[in-house]
Amino acid sequence: MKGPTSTPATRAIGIATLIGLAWFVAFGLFLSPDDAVQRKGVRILYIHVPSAWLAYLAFIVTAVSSAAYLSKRTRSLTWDRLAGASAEVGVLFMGITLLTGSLWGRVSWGVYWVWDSRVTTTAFLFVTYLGYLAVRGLGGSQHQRARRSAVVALLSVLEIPLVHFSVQWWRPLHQQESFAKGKLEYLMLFSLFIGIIVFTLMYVWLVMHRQRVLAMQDAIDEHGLEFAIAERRQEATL
Amino acid sequence: METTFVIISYVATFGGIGVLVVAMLRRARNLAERLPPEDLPWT
Amino acid sequence: MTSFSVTKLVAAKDLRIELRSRVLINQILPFAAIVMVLFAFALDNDDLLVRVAPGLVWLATLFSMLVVVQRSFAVEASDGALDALRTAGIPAQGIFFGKASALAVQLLVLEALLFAAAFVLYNSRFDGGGAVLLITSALAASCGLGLVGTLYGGLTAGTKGRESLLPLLLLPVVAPVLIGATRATEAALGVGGISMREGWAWVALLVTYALLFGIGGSIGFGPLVDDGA
Repeated sequence: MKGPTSTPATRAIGIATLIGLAWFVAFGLFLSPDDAVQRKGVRILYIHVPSAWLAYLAFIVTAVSSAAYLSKRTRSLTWDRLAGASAEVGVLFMGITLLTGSLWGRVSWGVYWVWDSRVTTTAFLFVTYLGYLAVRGLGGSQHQRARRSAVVALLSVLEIPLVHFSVQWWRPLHQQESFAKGKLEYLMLFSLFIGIIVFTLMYVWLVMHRQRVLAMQDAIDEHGLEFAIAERRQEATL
Repeated sequence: METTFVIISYVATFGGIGVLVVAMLRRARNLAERLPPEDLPWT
Repeated sequence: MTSFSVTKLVAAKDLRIELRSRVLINQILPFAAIVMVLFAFALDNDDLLVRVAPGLVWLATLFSMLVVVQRSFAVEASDGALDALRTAGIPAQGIFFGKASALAVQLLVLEALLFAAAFVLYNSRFDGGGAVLLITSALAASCGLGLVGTLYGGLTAGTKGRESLLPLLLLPVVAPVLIGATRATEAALGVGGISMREGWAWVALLVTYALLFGIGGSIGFGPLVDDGA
């Protein structure tokens, strides 16, 4: 896999990810036992929980990178592109979280959805991300895009706790909160742990590559006019 | 029923990620063709 | 020019434009009223309507707000007024709070009329006990909505189909206001079994919301609407 965005670092992470993935599937699907209560359904959690953590981590990275861009001392489009790449991967993981969470809910509680603060806030974060990505596509110069998106990202940081608390007071958590963590057997915990490692590696790999793709896109846009002129000149001399 | 949902979860998750990875790497290749090597400072 | 005098000027200008053109009364209020009628068609149950009336009023407010916000910035964009203000060195904060105040006032007028409509259409009842709670929660909610609406309205104002982004950005952000204002109104009207004490707790949330976005907006509005590279 020697693509233009590959470096020794990404190759190493990529290989580690694939190995981890093999372990994960082995333990998650086969080697770990069924849960006493949830039976096979618990295996969905090995994806759902790590995916949720990484989605929230991605959101934090986007927020911090946005702040870094806005600060005059560290103003660089690299931060902006990191924010964007992290948000895209975050949307992906958020989607996985919502899908697997919904399936797990159907298996465990019989319903595809509940209106408690965690589920609702996750759904809100998903929509907010989508809004952020839409703002990134609004056009204008690269610095305009960066500034606009950065402010929106930080406003979203403000919004999410407000949404979380208002939903929580609206629908206080019931017993769903107490999914028997204490009763997790060693192998189940281990599967969860591998899941977190694998998803973290995937996140890093995806963001590194995606950020470089965005950098190439920006470079092309910058050169756009120069290239167009050069191409035109080439055509003229042929 | 649970088995079905478990399988759907794993296939959708890793299948979906796989598809996006392939698409992204292909796009990277397309973009790189149009750029001189100085513009790829990570290599 | 101090920020505060700019705020007063901008707010007065926006309200004067509204008074002259009467878009709120002529276009937006009928729209909101129709929305409330449509709710009745959709829900098809008189007891249910009384029970959910507070929520419906605030929903209608939020949907109408999208139009009011876009109008608030359409009057600027048409002759580049906002850009002119910015280039003249007028502090962005002043413009932000000015437009937010005008927006809040318009929303308050709208809410008052929509509540009246709810009393008529949905047979809401009001025993007078919760008047202070009702008014305070409407004030707090309107402040929050005015601030947030100005913020995201400024971002999406302008050319090339940016405006279609406003609902996607704004509606998730105002969700806490919908939750809080509806619960406080339910408490004030004695509907849904919510105590007055709880209603006031929701008002506290609304005030917090307004404070946070007041601060966030006063910092972020300038960079957000600055189209200068």
